[in-house]
Amino acid sequence: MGRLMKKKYESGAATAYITRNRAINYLQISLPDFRRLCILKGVYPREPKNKKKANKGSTAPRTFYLMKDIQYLSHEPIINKFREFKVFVKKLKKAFAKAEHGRVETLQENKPVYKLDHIIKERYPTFVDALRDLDDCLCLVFLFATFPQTKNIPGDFVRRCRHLSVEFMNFIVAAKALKKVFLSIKGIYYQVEMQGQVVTWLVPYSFGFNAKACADVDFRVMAHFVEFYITMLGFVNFKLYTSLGLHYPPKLTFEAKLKDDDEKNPYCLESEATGERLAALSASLASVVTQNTEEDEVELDEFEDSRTLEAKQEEEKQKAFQKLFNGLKVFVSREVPREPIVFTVRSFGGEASWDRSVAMGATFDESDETITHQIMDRPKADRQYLSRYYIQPQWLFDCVNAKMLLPVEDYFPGVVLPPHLSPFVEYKEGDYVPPEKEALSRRQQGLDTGDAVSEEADVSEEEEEEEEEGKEEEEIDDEDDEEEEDEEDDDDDDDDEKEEEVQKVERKMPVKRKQDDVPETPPSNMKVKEGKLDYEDASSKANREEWEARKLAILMIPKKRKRLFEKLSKRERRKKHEAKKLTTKREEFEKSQKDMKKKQRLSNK
Amino acid sequence: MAATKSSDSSEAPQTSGSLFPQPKVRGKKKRVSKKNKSAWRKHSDIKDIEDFLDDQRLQLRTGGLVADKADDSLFYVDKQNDNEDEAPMAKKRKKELKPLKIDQIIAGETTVKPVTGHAPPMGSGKVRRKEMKARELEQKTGYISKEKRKKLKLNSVQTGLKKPQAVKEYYDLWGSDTKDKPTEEEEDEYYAQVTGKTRVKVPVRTQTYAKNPSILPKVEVIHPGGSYNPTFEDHQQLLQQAVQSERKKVKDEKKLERQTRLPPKREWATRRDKMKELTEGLLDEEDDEEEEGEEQEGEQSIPKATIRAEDKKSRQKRRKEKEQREQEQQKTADKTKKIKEHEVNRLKAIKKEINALEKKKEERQKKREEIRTQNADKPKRLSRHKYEEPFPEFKLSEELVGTLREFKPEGSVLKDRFKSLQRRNILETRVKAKRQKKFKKKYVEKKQYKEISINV
Repeated sequence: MGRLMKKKYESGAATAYITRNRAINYLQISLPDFRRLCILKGVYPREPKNKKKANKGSTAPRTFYLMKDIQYLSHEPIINKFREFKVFVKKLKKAFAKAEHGRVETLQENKPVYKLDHIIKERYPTFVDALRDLDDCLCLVFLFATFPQTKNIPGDFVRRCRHLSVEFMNFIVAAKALKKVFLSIKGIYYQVEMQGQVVTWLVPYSFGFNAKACADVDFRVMAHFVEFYITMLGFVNFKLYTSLGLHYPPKLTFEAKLKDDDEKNPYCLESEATGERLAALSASLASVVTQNTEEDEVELDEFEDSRTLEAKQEEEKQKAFQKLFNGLKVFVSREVPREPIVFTVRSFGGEASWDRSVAMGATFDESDETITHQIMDRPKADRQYLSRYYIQPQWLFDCVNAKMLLPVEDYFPGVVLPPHLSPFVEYKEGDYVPPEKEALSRRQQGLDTGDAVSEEADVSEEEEEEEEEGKEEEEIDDEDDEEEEDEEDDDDDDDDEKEEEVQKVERKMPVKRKQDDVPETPPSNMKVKEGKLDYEDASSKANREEWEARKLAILMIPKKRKRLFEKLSKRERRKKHEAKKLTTKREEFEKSQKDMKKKQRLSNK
Repeated sequence: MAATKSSDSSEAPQTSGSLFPQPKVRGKKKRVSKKNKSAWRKHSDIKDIEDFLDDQRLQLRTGGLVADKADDSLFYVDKQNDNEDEAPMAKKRKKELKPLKIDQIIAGETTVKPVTGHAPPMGSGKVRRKEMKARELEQKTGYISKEKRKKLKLNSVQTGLKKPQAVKEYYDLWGSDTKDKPTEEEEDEYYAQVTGKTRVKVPVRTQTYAKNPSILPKVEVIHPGGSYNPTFEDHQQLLQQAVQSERKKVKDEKKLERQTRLPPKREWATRRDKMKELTEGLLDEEDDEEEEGEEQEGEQSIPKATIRAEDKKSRQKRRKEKEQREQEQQKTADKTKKIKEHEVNRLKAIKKEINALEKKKEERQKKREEIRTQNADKPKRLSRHKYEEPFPEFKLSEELVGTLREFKPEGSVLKDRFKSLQRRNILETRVKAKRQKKFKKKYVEKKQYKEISINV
């Protein structure tokens, strides 16, 4: 009386999953088409929990998909378009082979095309969903915008990518949504915040296309992704522009004026001019509605609550941050990468321009007296104006990451720059924090007002130490004044100035060391002093009590939890130990560096 | 009086007959008396005479009596064949015209033309819609549709426009304020009404998985030591990472080399070893044969059991055996029953066993969950090839220039993106397929070069 045996692999994992080859057979499309369909529809391969069961007893490594996914794909109307396209290609080939040129023309006129709108709506039911998934999209679109047109990159992908990326950057400028910039060895990381969504993306530096570096990348697959993202970014851009009340397709406010300027020295065709002017990022966008006063601010009811107060403060901070470069007029020299500089300056409310011979869309000339900063990246300037600072490009990015205007002295041309810190690192308690970061955070909190004060202190100490260099020090003190005076002097003078600056930076470092060293060697004058009454300090008492309470609490931890506590405290201790090790290492490094420099200087003398 | 009466009676059936025609009944001939003149007149049939006279009068009115006319004016010789099908034809030719059987078979049964989708009847919805679209396009772009061009006898060059210029229409994909657009629910309802099916919805698992197939961030920011102008410590850390990955790479390579290396020469097979291997089993042939012979003899020596009549089981014996078997079965059944009944007393122990089992199960689940969370940030195995972590980008200390002008970027963003997609389980890892040569190259010696090419 045996029951009917349940057959193997007729339920469970064996039917829930389907291998790639079987999926292709199921859908009756080719492998490339299947890949494209999966990418467009957001269907990714899965790893079954039990591969052997899913593979019906075989342990061969395979790519699996969920059967449900494949069934869902089979309803996609785009599949039919793929098939139509296949037929179209066949017909076209035949017509070519028969040299039927008229037929070729008509066929090409009626080439089957498909739209992705419905897929985007399906994958991102709300706009916020789309924003959340924008990181990948922006990375690829900005990347493809830099590519040359090759046989691997189909159609007008490059042109469209460039178009969309420029539109997006213009939006960021208009919305002032930029938050962080990081110049890495790979490319430039940007972070923006739109409608509460934080989006990070990577833009390559503008260098030539290196086919060797990406030899093992499947271009076809990447092109499918880009195809999808192009459509997506188009819709996102439209929505973003309309949310700010801007014209879409974007329009510039000073288009007429720019036109006049550019007509004198045309760079491109008339049809391309608008796009180029837009790509320059120098002019602001026109809005659909006539601009009313700044922003309609909603007056909130005031509550006496710490949280609302905090929120208010935070908001004010944000607003101040958005206006970081307000009133700055930046001129970009030709050796500096223009796009990232203009993008950052403009998205914090500054103005930027460049030499007319470099690119279209320049708004003011180098001779403009109202320019406040000139970005340059060479050891010395040919001609210097008194009214502006000459600084290296890193200053802008460091200012953005520090959320404040940093002192310009550290960034003068020819000066050894302070390190460019990553704004994406979050330091936890006990972590090692590099001294540069510490100094920065102190400065942000307003404890350190800048280099000016410390510099003076340094100088005064240095005078004590090295009297020989007294003369030079004076020169350095007056340095800022000198620089302005020197404006129309000869090049030689400029050179001297630069050298002095370099020396100054070098000198600053040993001074700090000396500060530390002083207490280590106290004069030995032993003496018997009169005793004093030891008053117990209230704060120290409280501290001690707290410490005791903590000790007691530790004692009271049950045996069960004790191990966990010990583990945690051990980890903390190890972290602290490591941090300490790093600081000592750094100190040693600096010391050795200073010694070396000192020796050099001595040998020079 | 009588005459009027009869006339009345004769009229009544006439009217009734005209209004309600009755089927003629062929029955007995009605007998009527014709005793007087009026009755005779009444019942005698003179229709044929009247018809003849009418005809004659008509003939007189329309050009004289036919009977008086000459034959020539009435007839002519018909020399034309007005019905060709019925025209006389040779038998052979007729046979030829008859469709062949094979054609008949191919032709099928129906002569009704099949319905084609290409030419809908004029004025139908499809045509109207198409025309409207064409008109709209013409208004917007000036493109004249193919049909219209044909009607106007213009070619594409004359119209001056080859292709319809794409009209970019921007619209809000996520907009809900558009009034004329039906909401999704309404659309679904309409779809169900028309098609009798529900719309295909995205499987929930697909949508959630598509949002984040991995817990890794979409864009991983490089280590702070990867800044173009990093701090000393950060840079050292990054270098340390690079060193570690390089070390691992070297170690793996060494391992592979070790595993595939030839053994030392003294362990190589000598000629004697090879010979031994080749003659394995041949030299001790004789012994084997002897053994085999013995075995065969042994087999032969055992006499085969013969079945004798007295060895046959008697019915009684069979019955007894059966009874015994049944008894044994009963015994075991009783025993198991007893054990089962006594298990009530074992309740505590059973509970303990179950608890232990459950605990074990839970632990296993916990362990599995732990492993899963540990491996959450690692790429899954999605294809034949394992995911290989790309070598981290870094710059050596002497390569750090400190200014943006002299700085050269490292690595490729495209590769970084591609690897990121693989790491996040969106793409399966693949190795580029090498194109295999379909045919082997063949070298053919041609006659005229035969003298030159010697090496064969």
